[in-house]
Amino acid sequence: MALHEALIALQTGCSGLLTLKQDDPYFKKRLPTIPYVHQGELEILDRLTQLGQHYRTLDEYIQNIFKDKKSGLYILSFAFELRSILQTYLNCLKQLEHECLIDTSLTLSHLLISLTDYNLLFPSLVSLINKLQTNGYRGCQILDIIRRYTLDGNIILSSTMKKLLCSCHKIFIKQITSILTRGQIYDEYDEFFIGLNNNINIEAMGMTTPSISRMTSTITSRSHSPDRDKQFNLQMPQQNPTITPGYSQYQLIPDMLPSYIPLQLADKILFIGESWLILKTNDEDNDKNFLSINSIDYDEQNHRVQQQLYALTLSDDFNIFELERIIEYTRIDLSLTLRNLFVDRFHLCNELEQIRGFYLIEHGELFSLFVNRTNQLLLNIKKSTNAIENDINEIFKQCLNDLHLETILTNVDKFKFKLNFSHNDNSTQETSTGCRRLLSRVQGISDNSNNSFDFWSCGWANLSIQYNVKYPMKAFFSENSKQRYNDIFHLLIILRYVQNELNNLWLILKNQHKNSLILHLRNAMSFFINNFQYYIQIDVLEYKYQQLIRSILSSTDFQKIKYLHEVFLSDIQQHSFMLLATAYQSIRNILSICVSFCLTAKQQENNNNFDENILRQFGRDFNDEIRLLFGILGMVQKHNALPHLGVFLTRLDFNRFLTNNNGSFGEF
Amino acid sequence: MPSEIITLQLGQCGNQIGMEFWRQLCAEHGISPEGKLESFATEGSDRKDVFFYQADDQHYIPRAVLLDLEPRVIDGIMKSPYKHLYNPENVYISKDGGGAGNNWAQGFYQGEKLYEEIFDIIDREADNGDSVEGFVLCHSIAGGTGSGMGSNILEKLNDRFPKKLIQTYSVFPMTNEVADVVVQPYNSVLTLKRLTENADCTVVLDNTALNRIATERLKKTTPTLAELNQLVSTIMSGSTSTLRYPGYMNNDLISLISSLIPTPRLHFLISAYTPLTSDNTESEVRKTTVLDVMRRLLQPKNVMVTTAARDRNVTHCYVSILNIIQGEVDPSEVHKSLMRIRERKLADFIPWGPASIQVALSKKSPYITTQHRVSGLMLANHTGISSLFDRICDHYDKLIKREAFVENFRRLPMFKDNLDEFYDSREVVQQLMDEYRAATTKDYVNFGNLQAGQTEQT
Repeated sequence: MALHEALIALQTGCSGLLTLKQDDPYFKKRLPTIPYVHQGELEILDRLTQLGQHYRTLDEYIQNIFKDKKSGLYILSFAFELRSILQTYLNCLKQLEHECLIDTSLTLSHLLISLTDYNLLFPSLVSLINKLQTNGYRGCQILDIIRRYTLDGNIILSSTMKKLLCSCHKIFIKQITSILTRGQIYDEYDEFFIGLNNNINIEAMGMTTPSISRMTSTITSRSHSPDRDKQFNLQMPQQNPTITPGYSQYQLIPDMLPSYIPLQLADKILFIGESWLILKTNDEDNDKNFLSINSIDYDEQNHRVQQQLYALTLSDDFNIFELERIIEYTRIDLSLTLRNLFVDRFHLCNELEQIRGFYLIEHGELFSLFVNRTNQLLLNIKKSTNAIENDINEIFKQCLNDLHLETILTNVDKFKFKLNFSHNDNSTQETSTGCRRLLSRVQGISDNSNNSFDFWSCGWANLSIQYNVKYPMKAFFSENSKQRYNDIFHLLIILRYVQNELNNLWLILKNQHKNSLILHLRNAMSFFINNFQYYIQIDVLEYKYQQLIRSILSSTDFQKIKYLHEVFLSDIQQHSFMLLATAYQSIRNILSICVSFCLTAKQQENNNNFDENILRQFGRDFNDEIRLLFGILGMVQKHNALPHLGVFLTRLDFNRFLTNNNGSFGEF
Repeated sequence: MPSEIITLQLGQCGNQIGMEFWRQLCAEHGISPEGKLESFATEGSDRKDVFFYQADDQHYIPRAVLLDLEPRVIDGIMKSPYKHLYNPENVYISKDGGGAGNNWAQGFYQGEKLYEEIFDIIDREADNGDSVEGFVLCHSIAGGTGSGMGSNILEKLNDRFPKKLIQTYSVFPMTNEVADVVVQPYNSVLTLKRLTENADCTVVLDNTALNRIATERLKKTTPTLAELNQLVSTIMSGSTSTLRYPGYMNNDLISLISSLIPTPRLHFLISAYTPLTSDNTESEVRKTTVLDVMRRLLQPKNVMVTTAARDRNVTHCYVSILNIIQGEVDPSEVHKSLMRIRERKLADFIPWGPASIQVALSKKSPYITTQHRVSGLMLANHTGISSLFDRICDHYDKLIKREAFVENFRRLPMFKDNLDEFYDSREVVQQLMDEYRAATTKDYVNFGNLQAGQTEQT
């Protein structure tokens, strides 16, 4: 009698004697005493009932999964495996029932003993599915959860969990195989840790580093950008209504990445996927398939990879090392192909040379001429129009022609000057005390000299270059790197402008033949600007650039080349102090003080006597900022954080004038 | 073509060094003596248009004006292989051909007379460029034409082109022995006044030092004029190399000059070049690292001006230094060298403002093979230059005390009535020397103001 009840209970979780309240599985309602059942047996019955209840929960879960069309492959595969576990359980019950029929003297304890394994197993399975359900885990996420359950001392428990995990890994490996061999994402339910990147403006391939704060607008980015994100979301789909998966359109989805897959490995997979896209996508103008440039038989190779990966799924233990090996192998192959493609076929170094020519102002004479010719135009612009941008680009082309540089900077059509005036100028200035100080200072001066002028809102401070990068270089130059190039350009062009202004002032002053304060201030400023320029252009840019080119030419690994390029960019940003907010602010302040000084001095050119008080005020402001900057950089230098910083400081303080004068450039 | 530079060659010396300079430029840019671009030089990122322009038949013509009062030197040039290089319209020899007789006043007077004709040429040449950045004048300050007519042209140039730069390469006469021109000190002082007041930058080429360097460095007992001129042309071409082989920086004359010359009057630059070789001797300098080059540039024996490190209780110092390093150079080498020079205190700098060794990296001409990996040119503003002026003034004072040889000057309009121009020029040079000496002290910042204050009081 009790046995029968028990067997029913084991399957359904309830029986005539033992009922559990349907809607509350934990609330047991059982007759307190049953005359013909011993109190001890009742306890056993309770436990068996509990087991049955677990079974029911699991079964219902599986049924639900099967009914739900949107649960995804991972969960489905998990459910199938779970069902087979339940099936063994049912088989076991069948066996017990059979035994009971043969031998009626069997006790409840026998049942309990026979089902010990499940007694252990079911509670953790139930807790597992509860966890999965309550948190809504899906896709690759469940791998992590299941894996955590496999880490158990109990062999039965862990081996069962491993089986479950293994079934999920089959899907996982299939998806990896798909991306590894064809570069396609086989992922109907968005479960994989690599997905399509619908927002082209976000990081492109291989970028896992957090985007480094935009130096041009450290403040803007600090004041944070939910608005900007919104803008992106609103704008991008409009600009690009149909997104065809193109190069560099995959992205890592960190939420989906199982913790036991190293980020590096995920990166490699992502890289492989994108490489396939590059190789397979044909240029609009160029209908060749790049696969043909290497004589490697990809079909055969893919077949081998497929087999190796398949072999992985056969073992219960997921062999991550083997996976890594296979992926690395594939990656190296593709990377070499891409390297050959980019470096040899598409002349990556030439492209970089062009970039150096434009963004890094390699041809000083060109930009000097450009600055000279657009000097007033850009100074007086407050907002951007197409006509003005066209003018600027025309002037630039003219400069290029005049200097016979067309044969060297051949890609002039790809690079367009743009004026991007930030709209929230006022708010930016409010957030920065430095700026506000400066603003009030400039206004203070303007009271005296009719010169209300904020340098950071004029054309010079908002000039940027739009680099229309063509396929397949897009895969190399991400939006982010373009932004960083622009940040550098921003600094360089302003430096050149300020230098030009200071030199013009020299020309104005040269015929006065007087040893005057204004000359000394001009010299101090010029000294700083020249040395800063030399430091950035030669000590940092040229040095790092040569390094980059050397390592590109010696490397056979495209992914490494990409990585080196990213390192190059962040290196130069770091060394030009863009990432040191206070130092950079100080440099910006120095630059705008110099500009204000030059403009004021120019205005005074005719009446010949620069008000000494204003002059001394400029000098003091300049000195204050220099002292601040020198102090900050001195501190940084102490920590040896920037190896090249010493170069700059040595130059500035070569005759120990700064040291001997308490960090100032003279008495003003 | 933007930032062109027009070269004016004046007198015997000016034309000789000018000739040598153009020979060097042609070689560096792969231009044949006829002005044709050599077949191997058709590609290249060098800027030829700063110093040359192209004629209708594409051949290159120097932006040079050759002026002399006597035909000998220019005739020599016109018989050389380079005779077709120059624009014949730019070659001007005074019609009477009598020269200036080593007389400054004669040269100045002739300059005044020939003003229209000379400036027709200069104006035409200036209009020929898009935006001429400046003029370079080659001359000697000792003779008659280069010094006298040069002085006149300097004054006029400054009036006419106030916003253009005027740089001169001025050869200073030997001061340590008996001069071949007796009125040399007069000519020098009178020219120095114009160089002080009307030029923006003067590269001083001291014949004494040139001879010494040619003797010591090139192992020549008696250096020929051609060898001395070659030294000068090396300096001239080296100092313009960043304009002709542009890189990131220092691509125009103004940026070179403005960083060297903090106050307008202190614009007399000394120069040095290393390693030096002549055509037929192997240089003994075997190893050229950036540090070696930069160190050698600071050694007085390599400097093309003989200056005293100390005089009249003044310790002289550098106002500014610009090193133009040519060749394949790793930027970090430059830095290491700077550090070393700073540690060893190889250069003393002014105490009144920030100063350092500015470095400009420049490419080498691909068409000239040198044994050296790196070569370097130094342009420096050194207060010790005043000792050179001092020596000239000493000689001058001895002569003027006796009013020796002034008759030749009195014959010309400027000195007809009195010798005021002499005293005035001497005063200007004295002020210049005083300013240089003041620049060695911390109070230099107030130098001009103090003086202005004093003169107002008196």
